[in-house]
Amino acid sequence: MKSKETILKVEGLCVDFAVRKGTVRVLNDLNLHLERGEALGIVGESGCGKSMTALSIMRLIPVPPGNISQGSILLNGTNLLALKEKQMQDIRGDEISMIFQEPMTSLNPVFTVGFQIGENIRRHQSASKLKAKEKAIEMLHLVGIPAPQQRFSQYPHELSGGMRQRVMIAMALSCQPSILIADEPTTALDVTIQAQIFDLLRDIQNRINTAIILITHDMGVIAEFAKRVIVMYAGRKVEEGPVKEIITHPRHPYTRGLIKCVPFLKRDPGTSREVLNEIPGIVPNLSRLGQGCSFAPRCNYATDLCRTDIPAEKTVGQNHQVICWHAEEIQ
Amino acid sequence: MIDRPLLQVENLCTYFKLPKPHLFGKAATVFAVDDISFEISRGQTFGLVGESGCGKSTTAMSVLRLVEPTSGSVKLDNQDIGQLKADELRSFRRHMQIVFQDPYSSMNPRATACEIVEAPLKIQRVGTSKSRRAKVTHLFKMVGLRPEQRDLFPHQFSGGQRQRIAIARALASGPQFIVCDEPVSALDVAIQAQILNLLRRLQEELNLTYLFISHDMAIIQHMCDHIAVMYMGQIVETADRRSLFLNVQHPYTKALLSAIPTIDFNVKPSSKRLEGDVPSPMDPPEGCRFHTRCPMTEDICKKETPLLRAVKENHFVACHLV
Repeated sequence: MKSKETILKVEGLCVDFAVRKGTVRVLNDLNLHLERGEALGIVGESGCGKSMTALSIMRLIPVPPGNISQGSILLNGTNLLALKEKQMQDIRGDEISMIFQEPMTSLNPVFTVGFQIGENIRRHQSASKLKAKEKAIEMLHLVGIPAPQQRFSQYPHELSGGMRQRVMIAMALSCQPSILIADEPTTALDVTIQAQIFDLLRDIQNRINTAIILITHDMGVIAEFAKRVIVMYAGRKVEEGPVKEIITHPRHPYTRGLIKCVPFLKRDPGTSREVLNEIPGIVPNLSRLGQGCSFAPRCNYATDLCRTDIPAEKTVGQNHQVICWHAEEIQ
Repeated sequence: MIDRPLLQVENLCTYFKLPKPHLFGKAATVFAVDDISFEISRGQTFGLVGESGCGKSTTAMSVLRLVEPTSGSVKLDNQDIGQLKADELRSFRRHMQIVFQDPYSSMNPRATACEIVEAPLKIQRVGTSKSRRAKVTHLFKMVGLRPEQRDLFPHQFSGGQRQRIAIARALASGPQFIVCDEPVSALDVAIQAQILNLLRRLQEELNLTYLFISHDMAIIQHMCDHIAVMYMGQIVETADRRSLFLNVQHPYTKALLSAIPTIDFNVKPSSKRLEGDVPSPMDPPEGCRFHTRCPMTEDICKKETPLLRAVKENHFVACHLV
């Protein structure tokens, strides 16, 4: 059996943002760990803190208004939060890379894609211009872009959306990072292109053993790609465990709602029409969270205890944790 | 009486001429919608599904004559919409309405929710100011908004509530036919269910007919009675809901279905992926437009354009090889 090596450990992470009336806590006491070569999914609705988690790990939270007020982020034992910006720049793009949702806005329109991929290689591996070019073309080839020599000197606007995202992936992987954070990498793309991108990520993960943190709102994407998943709600983790177990036996009422409220494709749709399950209400305003569990106002299982006390983490299966007072009742 | 379909679309084409690249250049034409025909029966939902740029939204806009079609005819309740003069068209619009993808950009940010929902009634000169207000209150209740929210502005609502306002606005003039153009794509998953359920409930209560557009096969399967799959401005496969999914024929539909992530662990992920991107709609490939990406292309596909033909009752496919 492969020995598991934890490369990233986030402990008790709290992130605050200054707003007009005081501060809002966008991440609250978040713990997570990542093993080498693993595919971890983070899922939740907009505003649940999934992107904030990614930006905190990259130390890309704008300070101010943002502020990482508590906790630690350990990369191979080094606390990233204690590093100077200059040291962090050596890690970004080299040890940890990130790809974003909209590739056009994260590529620079006035430089060729080849130059932009090469930039990372020159910065981190102090390679010569020629060497960087060779490596960049090799990366373009690796991510399945046809005719990489020609593509090297093209500008982002000359490429299609799927191609641009491939360029982003080539850039992110050019220094063989041990962690790749993909924040909704396919949300702006069509389904057929989305499938291509996930095939590519899976293939590359096997080849260079990069751990991937995949951030998405789509449970289907999680089921296809990740092995372990963290479900977030209103800045907190609510459930964590192996993907298969969470999808077939969710224990948190929110996870359950999230899975049941989406129509899933059936081979035989039948003739009857069913009504979708709804999660009543909307995501709470983070500046007006009450005491207790933040999901309580929308939860069918909520009792007085839920409204006053924040639930503790419980282990309900192998590597399966849930943060809910009533996890035992929900089977 | 024979049950005539509520909406009949015949040989609809919408082309966009692009400006000349330079003085002596040749103006390119985008074949956004190229010869499509379909019918929708009263009280049914007809789904158009396809990737971005396949012409599904242009079809919707052409059906409502929000975009002037190049040729073809659209009949709603046996009235040819293309023949209507401007003032007749405006008055006829009360029968056909639309709900857009992004509710925020389709609303005047300086109008209150009440003014937004009342606008179609004003334009159609329905009732007095007092009766219109009463109607707005009624519509608010129907779509699940509280009457005391009437004086709030769009930015004070959440995305889901804004879409409710958009639906109330579409219902205001009492239409029979509503186009839903990606009505839930901009919403969070938990809110999507609320809006989809609302649309279904309203359909039953008011006997509405929907043209439902989405890129999401699962939502299309959930919502529609009849489905057409579009690729590069043309319908490649159309069938009733059950027949389409039980008996997928066109290689593009198959590819589209296999590309969708699923939470069903019994379904093995298919290894067949479509390669490459959609070709440019300014210069569609000769013959079958899908042949550049199709896994089973043969010589005939590169030369002749396949026509829709019946493979079963109510199931039509445009492919040489099925």
